[in-house]
Amino acid sequence: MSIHCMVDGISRLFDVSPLKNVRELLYEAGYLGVRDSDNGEGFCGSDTILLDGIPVYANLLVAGEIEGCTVETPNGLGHSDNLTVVQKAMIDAGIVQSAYNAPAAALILTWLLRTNPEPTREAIKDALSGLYIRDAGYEHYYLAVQLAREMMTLGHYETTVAPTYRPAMTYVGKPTGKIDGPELVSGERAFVEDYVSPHACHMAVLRSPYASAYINSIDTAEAEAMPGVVAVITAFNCPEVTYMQAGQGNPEPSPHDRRLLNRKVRCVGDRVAAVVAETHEIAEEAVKKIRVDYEVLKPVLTVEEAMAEGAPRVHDGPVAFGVGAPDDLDTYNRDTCGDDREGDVFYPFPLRADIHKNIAAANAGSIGDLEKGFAEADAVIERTYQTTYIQHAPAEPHVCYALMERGRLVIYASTQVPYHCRRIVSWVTGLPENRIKVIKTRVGGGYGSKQDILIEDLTAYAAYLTHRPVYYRHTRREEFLAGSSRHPMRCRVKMGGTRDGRITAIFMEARANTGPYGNHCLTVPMNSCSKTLPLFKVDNMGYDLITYYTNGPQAGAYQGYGTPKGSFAIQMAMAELADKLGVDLKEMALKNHVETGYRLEILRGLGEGREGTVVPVGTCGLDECIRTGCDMIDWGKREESGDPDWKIGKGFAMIMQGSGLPGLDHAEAIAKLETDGTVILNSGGSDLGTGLDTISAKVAAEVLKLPIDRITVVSGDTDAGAFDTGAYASSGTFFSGNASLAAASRLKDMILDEAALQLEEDREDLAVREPGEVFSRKTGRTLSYYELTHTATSGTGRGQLVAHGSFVTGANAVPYGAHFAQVAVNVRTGEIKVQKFYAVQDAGTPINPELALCQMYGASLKSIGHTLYEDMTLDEDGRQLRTTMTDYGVPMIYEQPDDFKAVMVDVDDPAGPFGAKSISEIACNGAAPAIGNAIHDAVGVWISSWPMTPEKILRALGKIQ
Amino acid sequence: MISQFLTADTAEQAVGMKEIGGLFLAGGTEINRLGAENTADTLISVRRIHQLKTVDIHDGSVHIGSGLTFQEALEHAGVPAYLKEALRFMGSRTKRNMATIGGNVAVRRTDSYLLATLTSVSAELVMMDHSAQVYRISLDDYLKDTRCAGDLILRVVVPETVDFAASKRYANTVESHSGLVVSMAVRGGRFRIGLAVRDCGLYDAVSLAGACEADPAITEEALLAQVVGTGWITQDSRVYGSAAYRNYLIAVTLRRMLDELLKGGRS
Repeated sequence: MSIHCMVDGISRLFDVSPLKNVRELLYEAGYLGVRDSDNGEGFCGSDTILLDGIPVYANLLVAGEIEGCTVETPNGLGHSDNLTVVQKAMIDAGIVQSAYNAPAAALILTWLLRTNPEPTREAIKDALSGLYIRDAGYEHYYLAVQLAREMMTLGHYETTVAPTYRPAMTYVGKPTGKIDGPELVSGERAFVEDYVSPHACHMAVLRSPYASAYINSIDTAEAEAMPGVVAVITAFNCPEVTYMQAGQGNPEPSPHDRRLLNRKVRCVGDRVAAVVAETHEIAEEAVKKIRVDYEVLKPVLTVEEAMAEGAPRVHDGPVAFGVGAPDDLDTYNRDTCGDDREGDVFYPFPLRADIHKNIAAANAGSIGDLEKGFAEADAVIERTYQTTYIQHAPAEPHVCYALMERGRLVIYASTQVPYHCRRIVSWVTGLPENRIKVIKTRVGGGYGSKQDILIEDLTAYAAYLTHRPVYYRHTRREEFLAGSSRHPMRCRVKMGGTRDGRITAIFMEARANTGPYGNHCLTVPMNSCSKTLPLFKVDNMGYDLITYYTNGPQAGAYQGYGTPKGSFAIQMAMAELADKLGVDLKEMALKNHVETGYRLEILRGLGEGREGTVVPVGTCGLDECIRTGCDMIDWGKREESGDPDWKIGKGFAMIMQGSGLPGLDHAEAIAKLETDGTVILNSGGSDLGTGLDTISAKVAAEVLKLPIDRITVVSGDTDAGAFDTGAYASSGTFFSGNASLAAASRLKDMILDEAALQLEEDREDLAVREPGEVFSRKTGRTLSYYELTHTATSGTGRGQLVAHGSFVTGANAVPYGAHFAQVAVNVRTGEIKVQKFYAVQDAGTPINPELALCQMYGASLKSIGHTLYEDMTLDEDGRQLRTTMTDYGVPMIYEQPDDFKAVMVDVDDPAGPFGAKSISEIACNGAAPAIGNAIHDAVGVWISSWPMTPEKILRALGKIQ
Repeated sequence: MISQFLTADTAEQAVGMKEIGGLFLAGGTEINRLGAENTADTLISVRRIHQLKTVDIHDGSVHIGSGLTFQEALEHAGVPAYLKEALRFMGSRTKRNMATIGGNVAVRRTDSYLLATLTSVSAELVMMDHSAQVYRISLDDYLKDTRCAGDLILRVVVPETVDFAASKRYANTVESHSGLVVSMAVRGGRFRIGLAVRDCGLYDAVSLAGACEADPAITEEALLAQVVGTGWITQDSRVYGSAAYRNYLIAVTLRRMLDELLKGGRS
């Protein structure tokens, strides 16, 4: 059928079925800004278009419905070199980050200002109510509208975009906009899906319906016989390689406990078989024709079940070690079921695991004398806190495109760790790393989920096996079933203190659930202690951590790592102890928090698979964060709602994180002075949308005194750059930024050396200055970078200037902060409203202040969701009950607190690039305890588990049994 | 599996097309959405039928075209405030621009945005059957009688005014499916209560309404006993809460509404 309509002002005729999905129709026609986050659920709004001038979801339309209509897409706004006022305002406000939904947002805001030039805050909220934003929160969307209005009416901005820092610098600490913002906001080619050849094969995956089962046999004959099926991959024909998917560190301590496809499935959704076919439809259909004979086993779904005497073993094969094998390993390995279907487990080094007891990893340690500490206390509390499975829910699901090209395996990946991705694909395929190229495209939201190589392994192997380009993309349901999640954790905290508010001892016990595979099984629970206990200058502290295998959903890295769970437990316990002692929480926090110079002995045992480094606290703005936030929220003042059913309370929590992993992380950058005097900076870093490339560009511009538009950052390409451990653990700014700083500084040195030769002057007399030239303080002569590089590369010179910067360190730039919440709780219905939320953080030098603020908003809102709504609920058989966004319950604009503020406390850290610290991940750590404490302040009950639902409130209040 | 798409310009044309078997497609937020169970061969778009887009007020009733979107209804001065309260339960503006009132009624979801409210105000439907005969049916009968499910809803008829009406939706987030919607309306001294209980059912809570009508000062405990006595919610839901929770919520919500009524609110 011919469908005639106007699209972005151009008459279009589509010869398609009238039942064709309109989003697919438009995307395939080149309107790349019409994306899909929810498979047609009508939730995320990535697929928003204007139909006859009204915003609608393209996924919920069939082609026949747009016949004769006017369609506007985000691609009809402005392109990257000709942005509209709205698009520009969005970049300037800092909300174009991972940006999968940014084009849709631009379209909605354009529509809003077209139909309502002076929108109220409520009108903006209403307009954005159908758009899902996970990365930046919604607060700066109001700012973007304000900026756009000012530009439209005044021709300039009057509103301050963000605070500025370091007046002596041009770019660092200034809101100059993200360098890749234009192409992202205008919906140009940026994400993996945009690189897929129309001739690519598609992959679909058969997943286990059982939480635990052996696969006796798989009959793929009918599937393989289908026209268009290229290959079917199962445990019976995939490589006999045992590996792990965690992309962290090198070496990474997580156990190697899986193959590409296993003969034992260990969770509902575990991979059983993969079909590669000419089309997505054929692949999906072929999957349905695969017959599997399962031997269903009894699963263990919780930590309690896993630790029970006689519990089924999630892994029951032989164990091997890279180093440090115990003497009785042979005896240990004789105590297995002996079934080959189990597979092996390999530990690169011992993690105190005991897989016969479902223990994947363990650690324990202490400082001081705990018994003495508790004996000194006037009050001791001992409480247990529980967190749940939480999904990252990025707007862009896991997606990968792989192909063989000139004898090499090329992988387009939405990954946080391109070099780890290359390494793991190398293991699986057997190809050496020089024959694998990973191209990290723009990433439409990661939050830790794309730190694990969850689909690149299988997609790349399929492309290598078939020598056909293969495209694979998780459905949203698969994202829930087969993505990773936050480790559920049970934390028991024992804390003692004296009547004057001094904490005398803290003991923390964490029992984590890693699910079927051990990705990050040591390091996540370690973080629950290593990023919480060092907040306290307490002499007596201890911890005991065990991570259990279960048949629940696979856990993995998640923004905040283990910290949000430990923070929830320890900060709630401190509030309850303060309450018991009759001490104000603020006073207790101020009395017990660490300060610069305090020696963190507790870190000795909290390394990641090796002994930790004891360091003194560096720069620390914690005190100022607490005092600032308390002033902002009128700490100590009782608020009244005017409705006897609604009670208001306040709470806060101290928080910290790290800036990468000193002694483990590693970053590199290469800076080249091009033949016209511009610079290409090949960064090994992985910009997830958070602005890391912009940081690299700013750092280089600052050092080289070159306009930022004369610096291009190329990142995420394993061929172009050099090894970088990737974007996780808040390492981007600190590690990759410092590598860029090192490369730029080295290039500057080389420029000065070369200029000294060309000018025949002493190097000491020379300096660089804007707009990219060398000048002599002695003679006043100048040499532009163009002249310098031209001479150097003219055939008689000394060659192109190429500088390499590498960064490793034992130092850390620890960000601190305090988050504050004011909640209203309805004592009759249990409903909870977060009225105010203030995130106050010691951010070092915020290199991109507008982006930093948005990341604080985004992470805070996300963690409000984790605290109050989000939960990957399982049934008694381990099947997930919430596999759509609607069912899962992420916070959107109506869940955002009415009074939401992010405040950065200025601390210049000597270890960070230009004084920077990490900013985003830490903001996941405060909401749960701040809200939990506020709920207690409001209605007098302590809620000790996530999510803090109205039903739990009512039960705690005794309203229901 | 749907294989044919037709567009109707009139209601008569639409029901004529339906004879060959098919589904009426209005906003698309249910039929086209993920997980929709479409068993028909044909989609019949009713989006362009003008007569489904109008709002008329006469004889104390508001006749709302079934093809009106939630947003259009919200913006229409003639649509009663109590219905607008329910229309706002659909948090997404973009979805409100698509979803139609008729569509929301026709899918009869137990987490319906509108059905509890429409039940509480004794809404009626103007229908057209396959032979283009127009008939009127109470919402209550429509929900009970699946035989008319294939007919085209032309209009939803609601009272222009009521003495009191209030609706309350309980959901995880604004965008989540609701676990419970409670609606109470009072008209001419008669109480009516509508409940939409996810995975349990849609209820015209006659006995509860009678209890409230008999004694607007009825205690929360007495209400809870009545709710539990209906036996409507006996199973705990891991997603939407325990039976005890949802039963309690119904009772406390009704009590809060009665308090509001007694204070003279929402007339």
